Amino acid sequence: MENHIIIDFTLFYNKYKARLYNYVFKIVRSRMLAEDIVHDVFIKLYDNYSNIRNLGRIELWLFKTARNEIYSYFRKKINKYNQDNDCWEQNASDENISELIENKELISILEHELKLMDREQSEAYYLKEYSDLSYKEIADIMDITENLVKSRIYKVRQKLKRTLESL
Amino acid sequence: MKEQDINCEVFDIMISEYMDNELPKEREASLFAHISVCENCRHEFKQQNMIKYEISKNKEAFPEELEQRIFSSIKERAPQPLYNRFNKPISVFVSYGMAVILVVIIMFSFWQIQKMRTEVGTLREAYRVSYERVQTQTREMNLIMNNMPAYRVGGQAETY
Repeated sequence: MENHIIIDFTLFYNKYKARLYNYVFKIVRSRMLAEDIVHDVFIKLYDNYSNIRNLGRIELWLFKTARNEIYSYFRKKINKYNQDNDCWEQNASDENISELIENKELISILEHELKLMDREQSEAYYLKEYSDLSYKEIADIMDITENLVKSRIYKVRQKLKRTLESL
Repeated sequence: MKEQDINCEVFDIMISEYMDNELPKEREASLFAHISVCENCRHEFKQQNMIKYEISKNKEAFPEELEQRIFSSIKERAPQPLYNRFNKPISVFVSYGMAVILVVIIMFSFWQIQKMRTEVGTLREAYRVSYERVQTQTREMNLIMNNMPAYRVGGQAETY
């Protein structure tokens, strides 16, 4: 029984670890915090594996749990991580958009723009780009409508395009 | 807003859906038909494609230390010593116990069958002896009866 759980867990872990980590990292912008959250999510998966009813939609469970963890950390531990050098707020303030333009780092410009956006807007976009979930699944995770997911992603794309065009 | 702009916005939304693999196949033809004739939408498509490419290649590698940390936490959580000492051996001992009980039952059954066979043999011998005795007695009775003088009922005994 125990072996069966470990094997199943390892399969799910290998399948979703990169996607989950990238999603969490892009939202929290801190390696340390992202690692803590991803660690806690996978431990929760292991602890609750027998109680998860719909194993066919395990990715929804993972991303939803990760999202809850992210917002829980933001509520409770934001002060602790604000002091870390790795924290995104610190990085965001250190980065100079003109330097990025000079260096012609397109991705840095795009990421900088995404950092400045409303978190819920960029979250829908990151969920789509990094989790490979459908609009419907993202809507389930974010507890919003499918049309709102589509609209948020579209708006993010338009902003990114305008940023590139303004260079 | 011009009618063409409104029309292009519809196709821009379709481009976004296409980038997300959410545009139904039957609508792809109309999107590409429009892109082929509309410079703005062609530009939009190229820009969005470039953005998607840049974003998709900017993925973080999963940290090795995190992997070690996760599996080390799981190892700590799994009740290994208790599990090894109690759960697993109990199941093994139960199997051994069942095997021993099975062997004992089989041996007991053989012993019982042997015992019954012996008893049946003894009974059969006793029956044979009794049967032979009865046969002997029957033969003796016949001899005695055949050697007795004939006797007429209600009269004197006939003499030969």
